[in-house]
Amino acid sequence: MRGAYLGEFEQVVLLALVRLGDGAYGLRIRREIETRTSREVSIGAVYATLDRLESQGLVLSSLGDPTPERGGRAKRIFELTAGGAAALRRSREVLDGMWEGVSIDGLPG
Amino acid sequence: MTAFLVDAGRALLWLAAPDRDRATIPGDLEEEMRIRVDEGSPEWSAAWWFFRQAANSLLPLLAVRWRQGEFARLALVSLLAFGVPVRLLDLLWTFVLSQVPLKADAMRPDGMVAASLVTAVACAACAGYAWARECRGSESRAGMMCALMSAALQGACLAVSAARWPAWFMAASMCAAAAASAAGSLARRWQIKKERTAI
Repeated sequence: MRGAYLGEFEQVVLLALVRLGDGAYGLRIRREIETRTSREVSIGAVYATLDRLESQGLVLSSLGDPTPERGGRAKRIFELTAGGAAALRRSREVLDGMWEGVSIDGLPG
Repeated sequence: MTAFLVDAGRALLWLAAPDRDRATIPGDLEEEMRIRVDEGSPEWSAAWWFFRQAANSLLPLLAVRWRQGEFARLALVSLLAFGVPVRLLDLLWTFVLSQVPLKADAMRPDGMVAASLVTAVACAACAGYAWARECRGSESRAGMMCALMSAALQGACLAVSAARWPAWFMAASMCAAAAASAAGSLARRWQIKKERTAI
């Protein structure tokens, strides 16, 4: 089934949505990812991933109210759908299954 | 310099962002830029951050528009309204000339060149108008994109044409096609403005 396996960044974005809960929008999602992963993320990459996830039904978006600190521009608020939560769970199960009994301590690098 | 960086970033986002997020993405970045300044970042550093974010967002945002089929629709509109008629006219000239003994590979007569150019300009204006109609709310950007597409198509049509075209004519007709296409989208903008005023 398409959408059954999430890419790494897709998982990161969905997990940011879970962590932020209500009122997650571009700025907060981007900052959350940057803080948690310590890697610089462009707002375009975040929106592109959210757009893809939305087209798969894993995320829902709606427009918030415009605010003065944004130059009167509205926010796009994102929330996880039941399908998104299921996809996250499935991805974790797949990874846990692969990691089970594996030790990489003795490997080079 | 600070204002220039922010304006340049805004321009990049205007070019690249999908219609749906043309306001939300710059809004997010401007809000975060203000937060950075409030947190003690110098203004120039926050503006540089804004510009880098916009530049790094260019490809992912264009990829979104590609995935949404915007470029395929633009190509289709431009082909139907511009590429196909211009190419058909060129084929007609080729056929007509092939019927004239010793004229098959000749340069196009001035009258034919002028008629080709007029047709290309008229078709480009139609393409610009049609694409601006399709892209409701972002007619200026639509006009720019269609102008680029018309120029590219005109170049392609001349390149595959059986006739020999002077380089200056190729350049001039590509510019004319681009300008006419932009004018077509401007006409659509003007029409919308007029309709709003009437309401």
